[in-house]
Amino acid sequence: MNIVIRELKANLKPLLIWCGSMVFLIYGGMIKYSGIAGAGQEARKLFDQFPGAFKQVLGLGELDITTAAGFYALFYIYFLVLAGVHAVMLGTVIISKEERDKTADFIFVKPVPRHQIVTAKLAAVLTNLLVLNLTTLLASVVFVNMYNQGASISSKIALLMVFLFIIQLLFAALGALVAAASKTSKRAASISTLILFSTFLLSAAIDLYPKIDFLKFFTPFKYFSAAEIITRGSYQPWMLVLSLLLIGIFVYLTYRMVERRDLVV
Amino acid sequence: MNIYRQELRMLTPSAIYWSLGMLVCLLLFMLIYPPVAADVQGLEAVLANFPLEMRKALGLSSLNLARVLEFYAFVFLYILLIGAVFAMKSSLAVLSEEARSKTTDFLLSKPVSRFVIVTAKWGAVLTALLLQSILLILFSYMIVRIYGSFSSSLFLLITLSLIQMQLFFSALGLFLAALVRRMRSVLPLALGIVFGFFLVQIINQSVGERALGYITPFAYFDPATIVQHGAYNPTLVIINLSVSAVLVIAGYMAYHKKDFAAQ
Repeated sequence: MNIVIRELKANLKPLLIWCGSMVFLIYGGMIKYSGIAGAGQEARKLFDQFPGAFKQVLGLGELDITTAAGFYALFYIYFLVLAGVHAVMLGTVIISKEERDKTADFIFVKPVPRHQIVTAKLAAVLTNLLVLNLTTLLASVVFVNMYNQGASISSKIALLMVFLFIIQLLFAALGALVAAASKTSKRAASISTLILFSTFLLSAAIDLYPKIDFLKFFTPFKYFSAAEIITRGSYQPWMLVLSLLLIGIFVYLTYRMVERRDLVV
Repeated sequence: MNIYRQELRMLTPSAIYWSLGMLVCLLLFMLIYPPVAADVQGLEAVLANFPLEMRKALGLSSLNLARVLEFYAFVFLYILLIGAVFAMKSSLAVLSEEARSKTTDFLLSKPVSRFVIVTAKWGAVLTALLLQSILLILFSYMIVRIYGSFSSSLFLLITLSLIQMQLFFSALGLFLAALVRRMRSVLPLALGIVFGFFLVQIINQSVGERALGYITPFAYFDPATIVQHGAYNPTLVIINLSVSAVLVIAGYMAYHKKDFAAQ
């Protein structure tokens, strides 16, 4: 428990900054929406005339971005990116920092088994992710309602946040695994960054050229389509299974590797 | 000079990796250029009917992805993102590394002024960035050339925006590293800040809100805008230079007065 509290305290300030940026991003995004909504009816008419393939290219699918719901879905990817950066770095740093700060011999000689230390650290990560997620939820509901003239979409936003949380967990677990498997903290951070960039760029490439859609299994940014969730409230169940499975595997491997790690002191 | 050489030596491997990363990113995107170009050509007619407001919001205001250089400009936004993280990270690292590896007293007790230390360290970062840009210009020119012909001067304008943006982020890194007492991890901080600026640009791109464009360097050197005008916006270039200069001067002053913890 002491370790959990220690970690929560250590991460408090960065967490507040992350939450602040998230609120700012959502606020900025919704201001942008008010501009589009202003463009109004005729834009929507034009929009409806577009062939399906064309909308697909724009990454819109069946979204109507003149509604608050459609617009929010379009913007969802950027919440994913921001939360993803936060989660992957948090997971990486929290596992690898003891060796970096030369405090490994301090913490690992305490009468606590290694797996318990990992559990405590992961619990702290979970709390941090949850706080960021709830902040996003709250800010989204407030700001969307401020500009939304149609039916309330709060329940849909809540559903999107559930998926956001799963992606956060996935990135955090990935970061923790990278940290547990890497020799040094520096290398761990670089590898995590590399993974983050590659998945982000891959999702951009898929948007640009939908025919490489089969590659989406490699980028969590594409696991859940906000458009589908917003318009139909449905998602692809196997993607949910895949993410949960990956989270389980990453966490399991993290425990195993930390347990067997040859600590540098 | 010894400090400069040492820092440059330590920067070299990561500079090479990050430059390779940029080139690989470009290469992979160029792979999907031919099919995308074919798709876009058919849609160009439809797009013309699109209200400008809407096109702006979708980030399609000016780029015609069927043209090779404009496709390059589209991809270049991501290269800028990678380059900005590298610049920020290197600059943060060189000045905060001593505290982490507990070598501050070793370095500061040498008969060199702090001014010289910062100059040598930041100079090494700038050198690495400069070499990176040269490398990028050479190789990306060759890569893009494979896919079609284009105006070399416009290509240079787009590609040279990298080093200018990196100047801003390395200046910001210098300032932050000098200001913060103890910086534990560099890369997470760099990623957070750069992605923050990047997302501000994403918002800005469509609001058409001028004020927002002034706070993010991604807007100063937006590749789409450069393609559209065939030139930089001189005001924004000057803003970039002056903000960077202010940050550097403030960084020097902060480092000069910094109270280092003894080990």
